[in-house]
Amino acid sequence: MLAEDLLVFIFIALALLLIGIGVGWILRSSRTTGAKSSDGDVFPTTPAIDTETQASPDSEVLSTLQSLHATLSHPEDLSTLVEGALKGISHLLPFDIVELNLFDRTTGHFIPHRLCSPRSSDFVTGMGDDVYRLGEGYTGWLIEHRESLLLPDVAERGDVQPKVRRGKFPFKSYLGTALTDRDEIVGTLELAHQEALTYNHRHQTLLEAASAAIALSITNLKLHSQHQQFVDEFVGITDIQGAAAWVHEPETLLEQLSKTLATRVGADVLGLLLYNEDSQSLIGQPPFFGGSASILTDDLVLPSSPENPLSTIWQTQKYWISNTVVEEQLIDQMELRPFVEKAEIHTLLITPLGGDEHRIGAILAGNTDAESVFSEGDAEVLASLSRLCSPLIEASQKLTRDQGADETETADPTSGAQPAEETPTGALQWAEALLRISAELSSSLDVDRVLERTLALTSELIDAAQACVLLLPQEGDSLQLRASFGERGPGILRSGMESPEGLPGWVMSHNQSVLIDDLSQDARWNSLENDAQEQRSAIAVPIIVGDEAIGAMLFTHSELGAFALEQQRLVRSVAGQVGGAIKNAELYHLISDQAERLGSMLRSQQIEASQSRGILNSIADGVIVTDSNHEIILFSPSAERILGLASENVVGHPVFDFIGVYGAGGTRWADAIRAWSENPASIGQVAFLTEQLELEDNRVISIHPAPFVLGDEFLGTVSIFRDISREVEVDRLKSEFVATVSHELRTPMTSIKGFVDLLLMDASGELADEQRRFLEIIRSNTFRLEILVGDLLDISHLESGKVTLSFQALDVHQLLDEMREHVEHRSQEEEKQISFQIEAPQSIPKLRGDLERVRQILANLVENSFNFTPSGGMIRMRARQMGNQIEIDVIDNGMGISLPEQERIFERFFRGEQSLLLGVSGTGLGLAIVLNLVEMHEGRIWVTSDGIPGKGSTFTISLPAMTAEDEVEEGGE
Amino acid sequence: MAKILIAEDERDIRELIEFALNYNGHEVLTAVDGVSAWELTMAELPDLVLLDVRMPRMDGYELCRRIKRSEKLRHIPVAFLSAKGQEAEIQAGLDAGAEEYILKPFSLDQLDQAVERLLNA
Repeated sequence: MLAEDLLVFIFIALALLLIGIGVGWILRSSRTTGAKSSDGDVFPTTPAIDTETQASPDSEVLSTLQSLHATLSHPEDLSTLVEGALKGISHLLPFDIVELNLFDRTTGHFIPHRLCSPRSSDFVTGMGDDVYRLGEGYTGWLIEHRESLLLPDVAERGDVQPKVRRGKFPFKSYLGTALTDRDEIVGTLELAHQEALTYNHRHQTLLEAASAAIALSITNLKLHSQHQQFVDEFVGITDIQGAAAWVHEPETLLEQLSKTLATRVGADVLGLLLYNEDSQSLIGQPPFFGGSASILTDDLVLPSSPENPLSTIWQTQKYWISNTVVEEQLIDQMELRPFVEKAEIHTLLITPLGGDEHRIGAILAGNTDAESVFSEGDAEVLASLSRLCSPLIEASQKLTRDQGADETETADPTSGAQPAEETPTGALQWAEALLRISAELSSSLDVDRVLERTLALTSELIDAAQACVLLLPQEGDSLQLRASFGERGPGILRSGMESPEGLPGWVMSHNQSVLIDDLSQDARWNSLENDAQEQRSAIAVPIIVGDEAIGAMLFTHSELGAFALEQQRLVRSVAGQVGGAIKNAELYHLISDQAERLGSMLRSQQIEASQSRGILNSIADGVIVTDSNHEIILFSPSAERILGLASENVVGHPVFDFIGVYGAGGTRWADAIRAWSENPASIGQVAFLTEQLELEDNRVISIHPAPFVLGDEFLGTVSIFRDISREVEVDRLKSEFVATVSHELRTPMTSIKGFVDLLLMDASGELADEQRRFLEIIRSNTFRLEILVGDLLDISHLESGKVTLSFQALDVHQLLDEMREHVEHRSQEEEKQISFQIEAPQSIPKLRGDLERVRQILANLVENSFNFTPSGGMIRMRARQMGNQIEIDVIDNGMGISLPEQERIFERFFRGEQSLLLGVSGTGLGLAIVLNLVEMHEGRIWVTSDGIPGKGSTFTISLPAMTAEDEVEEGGE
Repeated sequence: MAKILIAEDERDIRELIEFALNYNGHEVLTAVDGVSAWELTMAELPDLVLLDVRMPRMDGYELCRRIKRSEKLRHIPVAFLSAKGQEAEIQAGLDAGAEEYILKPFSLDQLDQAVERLLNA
């Protein structure tokens, strides 16, 4: 019986779990098939749900939440997300103003998006003065505590109040919650109302549910845009490395690069501005992707004076976006107006070209379509790619210049004194070497291998004796040697080189390359404890990825002044390429990780969905789910089989339509569902009912209906059906068997008992003393047998659930007095001295119980105490009120019960050691019956005993007290 | 001194009750099945009928109902002596019109008290 109850409980728990998933896909699928309103809005067309009244349309709450989930699951962009979220909230909760504050990584601020009326559909973004600003104090509280905050009346929460800057909006009721993505806070969602006491705990639960959906959506969006950005950068890097092949032909190279950059950031128009030292200006370079070359060549010569904001961009290495170019005043100051007008650009993104030390110009990317705005992600992609382009452009420019110089210089033989690397052949060789290095770098994603090859090529080219690459590990700030070149291999490394004070650390922290002619004079080198004799001169350059120096390259030579400026520039270019290659490899891994993560998310979602469906379909028990209007929304295949009804015939119909045919059990089941839906307050503690349906073909079905509640909102019911015909039949046979057996036992016992009585009455002549004694023994054993049969029948009836209780108010004092009489009677009868005491307050409330059964419980316990307490002992009964329960102790000072025996004492047929030793007669069924009866009264029973003879034991039962409601109910009957 | 009919198919129990009632000075008539008990009741008009529930040819319930339906016999008190102790079974006996339902195994004291009670009612 107990095991069965547990099983039922597990099934109901499982069903409640499943309904969450189940209802989800039912509602989703019903929505996709159902008609959408004309504007394609997936939300219910009715305005905000009236959450004030009790008779709220609960299914709408559920379906709005579901709609919110569906709308937000794959947001296209941030504004779709915000719009969907705010719209969803306005269907879900009342407010005068709602604000969704989202964390912006670029600025480090929470950017508010707000809706100033539930009826409005246009949200406002930003912090303008014309819109109301919710208190920052609350937002701050939410961010700090990462939970929700409910202030039905804002005046009442003193502890939050002092931080509040409430602004102009005089709201009185406030509800807010933090949006978190795993451990990270991504924003807050806050509502305010002008009327106090607008918000309650139910609203809070709803808001929390909605905010979970929104936070998930933000995560998805972030993941999606990050992924897109990585892909853009990855493809861009590969393209740029491909463009390196055109380094000999500057025009083609620029064309290729412009095209690549434009494609990567989705620009219609893209041009490169290169700095010209002679004219101190930025000059547009033909050709111009997507635009007319004449725009640039004719007009785009921009003086890089400090007054021009453009030079600020160029100098500070920060990008600049304007998505409203036409109204942007800075465009005029930049002297870009003619360009913008000619190219008909509406949105513009400007990023510097080149890395840090050697800025070589700027990139202009524009869109002719005002809708095609640039994002910060675009800017980051472009800035990052521009660093890769600059060495190529530089090399290309240099090559052109040198070729030009070559032509002029051949006429001047004195110029032969120039260093070798300044000769045109040298320049060409370098450009080619750079190409080889480029090719090498793009050939593999194995960073270490690529670094080794690059170091070798570069060292060869600049004639360095030794070289190494040091990189910062992912975690930690101590540099690690990743690749080295030279006879002495890693010997170039000195202890302390890894520290920030060493030469590599210095170039990284200063973001600057150095050329050192005499290492012995250099403090950054000498600060290291090294043998400086071997290396005399060096070049050190930082490796930059994004804005960050992630490592350094170091080349040394054993001769003083072995390196020239040109070699330093080459190494710088190589370092730029190396940075790109490392980033490339990192991005590749990030992309694969992301793809894997997205893939596995999708997979697990699919698995989850099919699992839920599979579980519902494969449960042998039937499952029926009704919504809050008692209409059936799910009818599982097992339910179809058990009840012989097709799902399509019942889904969508009220449960009463077909349940009437199933007899009284069915009616009670339907009534329970109706009562729950019509008066959710009646649910109280989650009630589990059990009813039985009897079908026409004599099958018996058990039903366990349970209400489905979110917060204190009734959303529907779930009922589990099981065909218990077999169990019922087995049970019937068992009772029949027990009844027959006990009947068959009682008949011969009647004869034995009767004739023993006759003999003892001397009805067949006078008996000798010994004969009399033997007959007494027969009589007492017959009595024992009789008790056993009675107990057997009792327990069989109890366990088959055939015993029904009729509850009434029972007077505790009266019950205890009866027990006193009982004990005194036995004490007298058996000549065993047992004293009896009662302790109970006069005011103790009445018990709610079945008179006969409570008597049986108490008598059983008292009998036990009597049996196990030697003559001269004492039995005490103590009653007290504990909350809604009455506890009654039966205390004796008898033999006590050992701990191991206490665990088994309520088992059927268990008899303790003491009872065998003492020869106490008993069936071992008494306490099992008591336990059963107590549980039928929804009470508890337990025993405490030290197991020490003379210290006795205490049995305590806890039974429900009669409540005022019960009294009324009883009275009405 | 009263005339008491015992309808009981178990020989031992029949003998036991007969002996006990005789011992207390009553006149005892016995029947081994429902039909002969019915005929004996009609013929002898006993002061009290003690009957088993489960009997051949006609069960105790039916016999009791017949006695209680009959103008002539209705006044005769009837008590069941049965090992069937379930509530529904006891209720069925009382519904058939019996005055008492004595559960087997009973003690002779119980039997004596019940007989006295019924005869003096």
